[in-house]
This record gives sequence, C-alpha cells and structure tokens, in this order.
Amino acid sequence: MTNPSLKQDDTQKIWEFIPISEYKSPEVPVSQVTRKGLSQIWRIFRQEEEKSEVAFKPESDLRTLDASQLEQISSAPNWEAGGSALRETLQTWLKSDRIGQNIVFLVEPPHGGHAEKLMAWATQNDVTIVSPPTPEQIMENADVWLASLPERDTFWIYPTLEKTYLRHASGLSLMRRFLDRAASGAMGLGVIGCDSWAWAYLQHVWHGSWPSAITSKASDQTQLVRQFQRMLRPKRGTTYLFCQADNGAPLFSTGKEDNNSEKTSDYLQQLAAFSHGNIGVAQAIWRDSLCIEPDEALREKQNDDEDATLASQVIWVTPWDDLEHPSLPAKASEQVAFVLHTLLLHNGLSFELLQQLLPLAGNQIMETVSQLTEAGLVTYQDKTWKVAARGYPVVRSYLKSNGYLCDAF
Amino acid sequence: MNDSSQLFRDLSQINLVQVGLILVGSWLLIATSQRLLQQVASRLTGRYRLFLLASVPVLRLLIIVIAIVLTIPRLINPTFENLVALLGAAGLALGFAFKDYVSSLIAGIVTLFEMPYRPGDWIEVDGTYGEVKTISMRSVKIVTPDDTVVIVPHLKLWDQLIFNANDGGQHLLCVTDFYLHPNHDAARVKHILYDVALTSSFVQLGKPINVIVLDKPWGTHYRLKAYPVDPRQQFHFVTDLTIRGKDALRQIGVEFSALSVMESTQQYSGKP
Repeated sequence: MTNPSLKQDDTQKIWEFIPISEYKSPEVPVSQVTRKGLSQIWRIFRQEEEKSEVAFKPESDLRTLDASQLEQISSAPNWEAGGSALRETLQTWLKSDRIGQNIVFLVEPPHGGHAEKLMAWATQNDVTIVSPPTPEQIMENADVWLASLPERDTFWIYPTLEKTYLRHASGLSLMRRFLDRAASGAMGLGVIGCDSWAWAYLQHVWHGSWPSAITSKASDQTQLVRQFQRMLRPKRGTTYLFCQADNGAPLFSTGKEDNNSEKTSDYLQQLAAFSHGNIGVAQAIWRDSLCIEPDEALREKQNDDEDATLASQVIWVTPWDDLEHPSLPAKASEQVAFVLHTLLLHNGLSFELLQQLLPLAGNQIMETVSQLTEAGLVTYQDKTWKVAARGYPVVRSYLKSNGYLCDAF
Repeated sequence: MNDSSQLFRDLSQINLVQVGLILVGSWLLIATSQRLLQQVASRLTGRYRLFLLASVPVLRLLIIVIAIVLTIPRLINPTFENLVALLGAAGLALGFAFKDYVSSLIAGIVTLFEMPYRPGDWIEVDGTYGEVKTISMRSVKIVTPDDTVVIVPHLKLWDQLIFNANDGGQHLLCVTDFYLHPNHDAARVKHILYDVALTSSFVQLGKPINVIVLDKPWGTHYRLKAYPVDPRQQFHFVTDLTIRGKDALRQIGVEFSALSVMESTQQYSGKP
C-alpha cells in the first residue's frame, strides 16, 4: 500500500459532487480483510512471541492533543471550497434552459456539511437565502412562511430542508406545500440542501416527481489525506509527519520527505470505510487518533515563547485496531432507538420538540438522552441534541440492524 | 454367536454404560443447545433472531434421531426381521395407547418441514393469539399479550385453522380502527390518518400504509393498516396510532361514533 504524500498547494479537487445514484461508500478490500483475519488467528497461536514485540511508540509515551493543538492540526473542513466547488458543478445547470427542473437538491449525510457549503456559496455570491420556518409555523402549516418565499425569476438557496418538517401528524403539510411550490417553478430557481436521513424519510412523505439530487463523493483514503492536509494550520515553516504509533509507518506528511519506509498502515483505508467517506465523521475520529510525545509538546511551547519556527513535528496516530469507538448501552431499549432515529431524521432537535414528537414521557427522554450523551453518541449544542459525529457510524449500524429507516449513505 | 431370531441382545452383550452415556449426552446437548441458542437469540434482532429460534427444534430433532440411531444397535440385534418386528410392535402399542400423543409427535415433525409456525411468529390457534416461544416435539408454547402461557398440541395442525401474522418474517400488519360519526370530510380524515401512521415512531416505513374506509349504518369505520418495525411492538404501535389518531381527529372537530362499540366487541379476536 502506498502512503500518499501531497503538497500543500496541490490543485486536485477536494470536493467532488456526483448524482446520488452514483454514490459509493469506500470499502476495505476483501483481500485485506481476509489477510487481517488470518493474521489475527495466527497471532492467537503465537501469543508468546507477540508479547516480546515492542510497539514503535508505546502508548504510555504519548499524550493526546489539547484543544488549541487540535485546532492547529485539524481545524474545521474548508466548507468555502466546498461551496465554490458546488457552484462550479452546477454551472451547466444554472446556464441551461432547465425545462421542468427548477430545483436541485444537495443531499449529504449528517456532519457532511450540506448547510455549511450552501451557506458559503450563498454568502460568497450574494444569493438569496431562504430561512426555515419556526417549529410553530410548521405545526400550524403557516401561510406566512410560504408567503415569505422568493418569487419567480429569483435564484435562491435553501440550506436546510430538514428544518421544514416535524415527524408529527401536523408537521408534514407545510413541507409538502413548499415542495409543490418549489418544484412547480413558482419560486424561480433554487438549490435545496437536505440531510440524507430527512431525504430518506421525505421520499415517503412527498409523492411528487423528485428533481435531481447530487451529493459529495465519498472520501477515500487519498481524498481524506487531501482534506486533512487542508485542515492544518501550521505555524510558519512547520511541517508535519503523521506516523502510526505502533509501527512507525508514515501516513502522510506535509513536507517533501520521500516515503522510503517499508512499513505500511491501513489506518486511512479503515477510516474511509468506517466513516463511509463522510468527512465530518472521519475528522472526528482523526482528531481522537492524534497523539504527540510530551517532550514534543514542550518543545513547541518553548518555540512559541521564542516566536521561533518548528522545523518538523511528528504526530503519532493511534492504530485503527486500538481506537475505542463509542458504543451503545449494553441493553439498548426501544427508547434509545426512538430518540436516536428521531434526532437523525431531523438532524438534531431541542428537548421540547423531542417531547412533542416521541411517544415517551419527558423524564424517559431526558434519561435516555443523558445515557446517550454519557456514551458519547449524542451531543448538545445551541440548545439542540444531535447525534455526535464520533458516534454516528455506530448509531447508523444499530438502527439499520434493527429495521429502522436509514439513509443511503 | 448371535441368534438372529432374538430381538433384544443378552443383557451381558449390552453396553449399558455406552447407552447411558448416549442418553445423558443427548439430553445434555439438547438442554445446552436450547438454552444457549435462546440466550443468543435474545441478544439478536430481526431475521437473525428468528432464524436462530427456528433452528432450536430442528437441532433437537437431529440430536434425538442421532441418539436413537446410536442406541438401537446397542439394544437389539439389528437384523431386518428384528427391526420390522420392533417397529411393528412399537407402532401397535403406541397406536393404541398414545394415539393423540403420537399424532402430536408426528405433527411436530411435520411442523419442522412445513413450518406453519416458528419461534418468534405471532399465531392464532383456536381463538388464542400470541407469540410462539418454543416448539417442543409434542406441542407449541405461545405467550398471549396478557402474558399467559398457552400450550397447544401440534395435532391441532391437522384440523384447525392456524393464523400466522408474520410467517417467519419481521413484517406484521397491524390494523387500528376508528369509528366516526358519518358527517365529516372523509378524504381529509383519510389523509390525516395516513399521516398519523407515517409519523409514528414505531412504523416500518419500507412497508405500505393504507387507510380503508367503510360506511356502516352507525357511522364510518376507518381501518388504518401499517406495519411496526418489530412485531413485538404491535400493541404499543396500535396504542400510539389510536392516541395520536384521536388527537388529530379531535383537532379538526370530527366526532366519534359510540354505536360502533357493540360491533367492535363482536369482531375482536385479540390480534391488532
């Protein structure tokens, strides 16, 4: 396996958009899975010899990064670039006759950044942004929100379609009316962002003719390297080399080092497959995997004080098999599934709305949400409960195996 | 030298230890496999759970057959004549003494092949509705929604209608009834009830939702048909649909019909 090493000014695209029917999640090759399985069986019989092997960088010699270091090494994804790439992708559609196709959907999985990309596009190009209705307007099927929508001959962007409905008997009508209107062309030309779970649910809610939808291409290991490189905010002249902690295998570097190491790492491939190529999820795991040596941190601090530059810094990456992922409570009840599914269908909800939508008592919901927060599966931000990026793959697989409606990503 | 006309071996020829070990071993295997598989199945969901539960009686039959095959040659001289005599005598005795019992045993074997019910299925036999918990050689144990265990002998299979609501699968149709005063906007009510099911936390969205409207002399009968995610949720699902359906209908001022109570009581069979 090769370890991609890319330059900072690499011009290759980090965002690519494809029709959702062409979406394909990265996979770990069967040969690799088989080889790994066999080597694990082999290890069982060679326990004595294994014990004598020493990890390249023992865990005890490393420490995780603090918030400021994480911000320096893995800052937020570049959504602005995503917005620009999206605009380029839709250029042809924007300039064409568009007969019968007045809207295009951008569908992304949770933490995939559909709203951020569309907001970036809208703000960069001064495009009309449609704000979502309030929960009260949704429940009342309020005409006032529909009246505030753009008229014909306007180009508009609506970043969060998932905020237009509530899974409640009174919470679907406004969404249907909005889609009827948007699809008819009465609102002019628009791009609508939608979370993939809401998208899956809305296929059962609105029975009109769905316009075309696009999504970000799933990030494979090469794409992940490009993304991670662009998340670096290095101090002047600093280059980073990312190596796997157990065997020293280089993952990638930001410098010009030649990769002569014989050691290889399947970390990025595993990460791409586990996160389904979802950059938000991959980044959350990536941030949890990064470690440095305590003396490296000290050296960096001294250099900061002296305003000097650091030549090169090795960042150690926890091996994939040693990573601990959040897990569901041992006896996950029906309540857990309901809360998680409802949160995903709405891409996050306040406690009051959860109470309104779930067939559970307030204290049951609170208990479940607390339990899930403790397990690292749910986070609370801006008065909204959301499935955490770090816990999303586990939650998705749990809901899927239990027969709940899932997204296609 | 063995005398072929002698059915059973001499006591001195029979290795009682071996026979005992086979019997005890089989019993242990059956008990362990039953407990183990049921424990594993309780941790699983969906089709894996149903598959594992269904394999319990098959495995038990397999162990019993192997135990018999291993035991018979150790007890009798396995000549053709002896086997015919043994089977004939056993058949005659069993036929008279345990007619129903044997009938149930044979029906039990038939159930393994025809599979009219499997563990995890929701069935109704002779007016009793419940979930199949275990299938033994002679009978099937079902647990009703009121948590009552009912043992139904397999021989019911010969002459009774057996209603299987999910037939080995995850999909079990639930019907929720609404009885309304006839003076209302039926199209709107139908639409609202559809949304009530569509927005339920329990609903299986991969399966269709239907609203059937029937006009009766006392009013209008709505039957909301939908599938829960898990068959075990059926009663909670119907409760949820009823509560939210009534709430939604009350909000638009639809009146409920009280005259339908008598009819609904007559129709009730236990299954939602």
